[in-house]
Amino acid sequence: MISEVLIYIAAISAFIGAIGLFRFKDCYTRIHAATMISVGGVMLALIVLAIETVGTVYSVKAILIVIFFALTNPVSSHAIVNCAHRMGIEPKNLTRDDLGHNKLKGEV
Amino acid sequence: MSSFLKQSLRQISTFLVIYIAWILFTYSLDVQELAFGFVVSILVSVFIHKYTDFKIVDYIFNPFKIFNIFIYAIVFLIVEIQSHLSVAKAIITGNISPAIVRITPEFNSDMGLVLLANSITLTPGTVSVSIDKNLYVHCLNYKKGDKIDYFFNKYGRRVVD
Repeated sequence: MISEVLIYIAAISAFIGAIGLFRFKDCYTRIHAATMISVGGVMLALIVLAIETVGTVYSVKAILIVIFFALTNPVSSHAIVNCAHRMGIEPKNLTRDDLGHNKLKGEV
Repeated sequence: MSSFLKQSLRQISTFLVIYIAWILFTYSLDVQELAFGFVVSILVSVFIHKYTDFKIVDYIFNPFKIFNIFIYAIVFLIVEIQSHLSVAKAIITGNISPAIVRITPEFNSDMGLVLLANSITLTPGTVSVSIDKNLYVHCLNYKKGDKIDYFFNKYGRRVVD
């Protein structure tokens, strides 16, 4: 019962994230939609797999993959965004910018 | 003598954690797999011990830490659900007000900074862009006076310190 509800939530959040990838017009905002796919879609689907196959090998491995995902996903997101920042790609429509964008170009 | 004991305890605990993870991944008790995992775990734990000063002993054998990690996981789950809902709303309606905000972490250790940056990046709606003692975070929906890191700072301090 609960796994059926959760798998629908995972599907819906992956779908909305995929829409967001097209609707947002900026590298920095698209990353938010991509995070939504990988956390709300993939990780939740793996948790559902672990619930469905509880007590077997697959459940243990699914939980291990979830932990692995939680450790590596932020690293890759941060690498993409930090690379865009260092290349000097400007975020659009900022309402506040504590990181003066041209200031850091040569440094770090 | 005491410091030697401490060092070896650190190394042995790192080795144990890696070896248990290996056994769970292979999920078999063949002599071959166990022996190979033993060798690899020793190599990796020596490497970790030599090049970093991460002390897993403090986290594994301390009941208070484990309890705090549990609390942190629950808080993280709630924040995650909230931010998923708000990002879904932002995608459907199209109203966004992005901003890059400076965050000053309230703990000094590297481990705390890693925990804070990873938690911020793992919640949709906020992603850490750059680090130089302070943390620069790009948020999707920023209103004046928002404190993005409030929960992570408050509960993360108990885990790390």
